Amino acid sequence: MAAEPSFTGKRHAPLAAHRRRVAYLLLAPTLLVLLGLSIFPTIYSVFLSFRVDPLYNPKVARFIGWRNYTDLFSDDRFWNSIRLTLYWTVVVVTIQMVVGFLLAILLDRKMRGASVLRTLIIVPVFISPIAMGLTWRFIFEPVSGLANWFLSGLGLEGYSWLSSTDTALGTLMFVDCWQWTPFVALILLAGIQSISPEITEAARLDRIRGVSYYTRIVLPLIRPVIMVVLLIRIVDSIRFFDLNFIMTKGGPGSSTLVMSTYDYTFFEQGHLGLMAACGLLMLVLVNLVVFVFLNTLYRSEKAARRADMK
Amino acid sequence: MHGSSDRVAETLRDRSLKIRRMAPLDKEDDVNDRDHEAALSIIARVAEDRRGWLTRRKFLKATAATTVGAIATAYAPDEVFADVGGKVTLFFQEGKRWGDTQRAVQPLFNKVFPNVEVVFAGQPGTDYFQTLTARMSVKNSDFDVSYVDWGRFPGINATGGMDPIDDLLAQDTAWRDDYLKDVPESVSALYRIPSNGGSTFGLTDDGNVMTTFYRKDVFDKAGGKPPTTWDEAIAIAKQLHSPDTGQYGNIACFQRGAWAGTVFWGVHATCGGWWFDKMEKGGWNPVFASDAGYEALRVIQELMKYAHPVSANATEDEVNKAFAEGSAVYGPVCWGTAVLNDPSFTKFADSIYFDLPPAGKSPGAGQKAQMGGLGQFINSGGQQKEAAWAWMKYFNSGDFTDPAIGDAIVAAGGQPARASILGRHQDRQFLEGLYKVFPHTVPYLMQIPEANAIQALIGEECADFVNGIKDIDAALKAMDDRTRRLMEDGGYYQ
Repeated sequence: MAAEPSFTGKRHAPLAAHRRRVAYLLLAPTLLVLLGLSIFPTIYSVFLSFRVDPLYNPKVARFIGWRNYTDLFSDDRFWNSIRLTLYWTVVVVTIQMVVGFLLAILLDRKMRGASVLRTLIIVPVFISPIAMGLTWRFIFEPVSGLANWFLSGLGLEGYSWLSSTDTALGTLMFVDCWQWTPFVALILLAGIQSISPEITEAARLDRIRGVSYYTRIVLPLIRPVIMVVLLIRIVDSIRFFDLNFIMTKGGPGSSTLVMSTYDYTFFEQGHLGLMAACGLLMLVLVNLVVFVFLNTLYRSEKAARRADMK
Repeated sequence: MHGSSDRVAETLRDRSLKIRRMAPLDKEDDVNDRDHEAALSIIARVAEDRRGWLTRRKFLKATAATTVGAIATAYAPDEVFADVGGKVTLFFQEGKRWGDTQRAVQPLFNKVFPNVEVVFAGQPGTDYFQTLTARMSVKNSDFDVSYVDWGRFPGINATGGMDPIDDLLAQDTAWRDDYLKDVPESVSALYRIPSNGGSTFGLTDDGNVMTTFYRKDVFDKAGGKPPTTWDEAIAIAKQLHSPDTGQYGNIACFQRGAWAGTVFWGVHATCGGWWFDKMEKGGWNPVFASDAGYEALRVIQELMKYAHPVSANATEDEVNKAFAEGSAVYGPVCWGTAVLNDPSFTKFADSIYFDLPPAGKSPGAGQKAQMGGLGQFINSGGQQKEAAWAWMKYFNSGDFTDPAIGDAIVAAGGQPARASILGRHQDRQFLEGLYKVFPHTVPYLMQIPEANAIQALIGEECADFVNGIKDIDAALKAMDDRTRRLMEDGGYYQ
């Protein structure tokens, strides 16, 4: 009787090694791409951040230690850009989550044309930020723009939307919310619609309706979905750039100068060292937020599971 | 009569023979070739008969020969360089003055250089300079000739990626002397780089000036002339300011960075300001926090009270749009460009004039305009040097080679640097004005690699001041401190 094939022991070592080789071979293209486009640039950025390396005059490039970092820390605009970025993230993400959730509830209702509405509502997400930024820039043009024309039709005074320090940030927030709230709404809608009909029915029998249905049943059940969409929006908001670049370029003055636009100005001016240092600090900030966020999520999930077991 | 027809006949014979000597011609040129053959035979017969009496028949023959010959030469280039071949790749920023002018000249070029293929590698304006600088730094070989704003020229030159062209210019001294005579020294000098031994690295077909733009009809009605002092400018801005009727007192581009930097420097120069105490060893100390600096920012502050609402965060695009729609009627320091005299761009094309900017009161003040423009250079990493030089020389030839070149550039929206072309296009106010203002210009940036970065940083400080984020002392001090840091990094104080 022939022996049963065994996958352990010395006899099968060559097979395992062969499989490992195949695995590495199959992984190699991805690893190479990652190495070339992500790992190497990050390491090179660290190297650059300790150098003065002007794009316009490579002859004077040299090592300068921590100076790029100390220069950044002593620059008011750097701290202002961090403040603005955090403020932007908190306000924009809060609006998008709250309005997105309300929109999701609305779309969840059985009504005529709901599917058409769902399709239409997602359109802003698909528009290129550059095209959208240019369009909104024209709309908010103070003299011949549509926004002030509309206001004047209502007998109201117009604003210098994008060229006043009082209104520029708010205008950008409005446009960003216009684009991303539908995205949040659709993801949350998917979460709401995945709730089992038995649970909904049980809630109905228990006479849990209206606001309490959403706060006591829906929100706890779609919490993982909320966390995912929240994480996406927070990370996106911290690295917010395209609309800012097209619509105000950080201005007027530095009133909308968020971190990524602040960093970009170093590239524009050819200061590769400062650009790298600022980019790395931004990377640290994003990772810090993500770490805190995921940690909180993990702990709350664990606590919820423990409560369920009790 | 005889002498005259002899001269014409000989000229035509020489020219036709010269054309006949050319290397293989393509199909289109074969047609020209046959025309020349016909012209040549007629000319020969006329020449043979020239000793005889002038009869009506001979007169008609001579006239016919002259006409045919003139037509033939009018449609044929003076010289055809079929021995020059290859592919010249032009890398440039898209736009009227950039890509459109080059595309307009290319058909003319290919009549003279039929075997040179011209490849247009244009890219949108955003990040063009950064892309170009990066490509130059790594000695990229994908392009042969590039086109760049004067302000970026010294910085890009410092990458070591430009070929000096003094030797090439010396090969044709007649051409060189004509170029240097025709392009004002204030413009051509911008492309000789002091930090690189004063060698010439670029040629320019395009001149630009940052100066005063105004609506003549509005000024005439208001009984005013373009102001010559900043006090007058503020007064007239106040007088013109009428937001209720959609007209604003003045306009400028104060978007943070380079745009606000050029406006600040535009006013600063007229107030007698300069960037450094002296531009030589032992100097290079920034002096923005000076009488001129304070005066410049105070002037800007006053003008902002009567400014067009886009000014606080505008680029030149917004400024030109405001002029085009009529809400802007006065821009004391604008780039404007020839587009403001283009009837397809604005219905006020005939009314927009320009003049020297007003002067301040500080020592050294005066009506000075900032000189700008575009220059072409040969990429040292490029492979097609002969074709590259052929293109660059032809494109910058002006009337010396063919008046059609300048006409094509103007028609495409360009603004020539050559006085002879400007002189032929005085119907456009901007081109007329360029000619007038050239002698009163100052370079819009210093000829050092750091120039553009300094311009951007003074623009950041100026924009913060304009928008009330910084006060005058803080803004000027920051300009000095940040400039000093850049100069330190550049090794200017060692």
